[in-house]
Amino acid sequence: MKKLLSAILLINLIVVTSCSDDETGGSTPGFDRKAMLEDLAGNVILPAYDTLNKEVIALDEALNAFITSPDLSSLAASRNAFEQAYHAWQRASFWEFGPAFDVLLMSSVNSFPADYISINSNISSGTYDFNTLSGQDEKGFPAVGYLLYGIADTDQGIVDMFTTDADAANRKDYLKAVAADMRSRVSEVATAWSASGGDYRSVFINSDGTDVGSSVGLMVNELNKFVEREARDAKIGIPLGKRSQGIPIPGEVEAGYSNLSISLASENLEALYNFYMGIGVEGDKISFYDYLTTINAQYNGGLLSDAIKQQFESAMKEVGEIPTPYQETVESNPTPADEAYTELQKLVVLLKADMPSALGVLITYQDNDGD
Amino acid sequence: MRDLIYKPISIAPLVVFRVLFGFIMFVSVMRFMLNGWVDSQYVMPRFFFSYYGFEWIKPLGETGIYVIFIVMAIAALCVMAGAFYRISATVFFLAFTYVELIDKTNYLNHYYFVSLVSLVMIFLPAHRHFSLDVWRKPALYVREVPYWCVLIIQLQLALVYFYAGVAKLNYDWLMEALPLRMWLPPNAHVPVVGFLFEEVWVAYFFSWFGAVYDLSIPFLLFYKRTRPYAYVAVIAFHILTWLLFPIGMFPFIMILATTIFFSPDFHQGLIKKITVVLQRLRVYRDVAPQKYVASAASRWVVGFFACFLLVQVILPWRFTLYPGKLFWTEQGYRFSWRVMLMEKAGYVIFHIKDPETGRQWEAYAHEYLTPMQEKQMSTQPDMILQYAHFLEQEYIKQGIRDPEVRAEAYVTLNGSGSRLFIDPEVDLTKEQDGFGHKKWILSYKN
Repeated sequence: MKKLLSAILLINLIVVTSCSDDETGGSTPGFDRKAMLEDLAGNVILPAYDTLNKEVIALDEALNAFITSPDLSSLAASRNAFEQAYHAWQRASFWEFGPAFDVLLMSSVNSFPADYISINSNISSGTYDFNTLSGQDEKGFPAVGYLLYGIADTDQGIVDMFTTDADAANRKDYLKAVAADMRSRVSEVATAWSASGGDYRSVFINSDGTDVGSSVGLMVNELNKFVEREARDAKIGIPLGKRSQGIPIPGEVEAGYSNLSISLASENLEALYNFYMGIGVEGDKISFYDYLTTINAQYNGGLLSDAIKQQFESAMKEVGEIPTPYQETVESNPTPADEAYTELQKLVVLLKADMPSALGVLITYQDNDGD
Repeated sequence: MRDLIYKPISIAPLVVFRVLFGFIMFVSVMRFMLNGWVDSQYVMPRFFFSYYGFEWIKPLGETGIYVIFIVMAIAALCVMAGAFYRISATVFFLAFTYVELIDKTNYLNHYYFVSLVSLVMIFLPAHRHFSLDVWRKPALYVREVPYWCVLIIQLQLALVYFYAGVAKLNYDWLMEALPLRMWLPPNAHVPVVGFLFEEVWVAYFFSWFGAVYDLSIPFLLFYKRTRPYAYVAVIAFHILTWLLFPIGMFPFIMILATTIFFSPDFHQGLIKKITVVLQRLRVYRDVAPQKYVASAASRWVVGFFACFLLVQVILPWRFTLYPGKLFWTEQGYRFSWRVMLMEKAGYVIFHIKDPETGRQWEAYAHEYLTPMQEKQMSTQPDMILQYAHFLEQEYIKQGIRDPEVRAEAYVTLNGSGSRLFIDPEVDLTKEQDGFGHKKWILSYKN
């Protein structure tokens, strides 16, 4: 017996010294997480990045056509491409992990509002670096929006800024550089996900556990962070004055020059809903809604999956009813925006408290002995 | 009783415990540093949740905290080697406990356990055999010590297990198999037996087995005839929890610590074998043992240990003095060996009002807190109050003379669904922390 105990003790010491925290994935008979990941990748995520990539290429081409011959018609074509691409971005903006995280996609293409003072000084000096963190709000969609809508009061005035203005040549170069930066980053992410490129898709599907670094862990944590800080705060709450002692800041809205704020916010929320439901190019497939339903997650007497679905629907309805342009609404008629904000708030609670708790998703690798 | 606790027994179990404890503490401290947790838990946060009554414990800044951790690692090695033992044990206790007191976000029962054991270690003659201290001063060597020197550690361990078992005797754990019913299914990837974790009956089995294990294991370890089986159960239980849950070093600390229950013969044999190796390496010096002479202070030490245990026996019951559901209010929850007992998550919206202008706005935890601090704060009323007071100070600094701070908090307990946790009408800047009942915690309704 003593020998046995010594041997056990020795084995312990070996295990202790060699212990590690790695977690591996696997499928569960009750709910097939791998199947969900395959569906999400094939039905929702890859198509969203593909569309975004195509739209951003189209935007780059339209902008180059405008730069080559700036006139009212090429301006209109550019604005049309901008609108399309910006909406496509709203459908691909909330997976800031893996390839998107590597190229800092979200902060690179959509740090709003645009810092127009720096943009103007970049244009007149002709020197700028798009790889610095401080320059994030001098490029991307907000910068394009400013240059296509905000640099003069009339459309002809805007065209003039690219033709007769003293800085016209520099301005054209700047717009070209902004478009190229967006195109290269988006294309890098789309390629990294695709099977013919970096094939992150395989990594994503095979990381099918529920620990922090697993695909489920990443998606859940990014989803609630995004809805909290982008869908609720940046797009709706901050312009409304929710973080500035109750004083509205109209200048903080997304796409203020193009008046697209509410249209983009609605598009974004609908995309989040589709992602949650698993609705994509191939129809309604497996996603978190099904996951929560299968494990029978509860919400005060009903199903959590349904509670989240209904809350998404309420939030979409209220956000859609906010009068546009949003930068005027926040000061003249804040009540509908307040109502939308409240619905988004409830959605955040469900996505940040209930959903991770029900799925057993943690937020850090830190040790834990159960709250 | 008197005779029993003063009865001389071999020093070997105590010595082996010292070596194992020093070793596992060294591993724990190094692991903590290598995982980057010193940075994420003690350098990055802009605000720390101090313990009530310990607000004077302040973080030391980046250099300071790393120095503390390095000192802690060296002290652990010294405890293991028995070098300058009393000093190194004291230093380890102070450094470890200081770090734990900085921020209650990081409270873990096993950190509390380490603080208690390292406090006890200071007063034990664990360096008087098989140590660098004996190598330096052969006169320190004793072969026997009074039984209380070993008993105190055994009782401390028994207390941890037993109270962990008592804590499991609640409706959710036994009748609903919660939270294990939520925690087990995501572990279905464990090889071979993984599929079992999806079965509800397995969650029930684990819940009941866990309760019976915790309640009985101290007794089974004390009795010689059941001890080997009990130890096999200890290993199986802790390895299983290590595989299933992210509970860090705790399983290994317990597996090593419970060897203190083994017979003196076992420990003597172990030391002898290592001694043979050391002799071959010519780093061992034979010395003659002295007789252990109890110092005048040892009676005080025994008295102190008795009080120490008594406090721990009483402390976990303090929750009965508070109204409401313990898991919901968490009044009297900490320092009671409530390990892996509930699944709780929440979200707090702080509503700020400047009464002078009537303006209202909101503040969120992520502006000042790390994700872990935010998570812990969201479900614990005392931390919500602390953060509300911190926000009050921030706004006063920004020129608002008398800001009002209210918390709209939602909490879900054991997957029941989030519901309102704190009275959203109460201005928390007017409430003070303390041991009294916090009336602004809403009651848990089913």
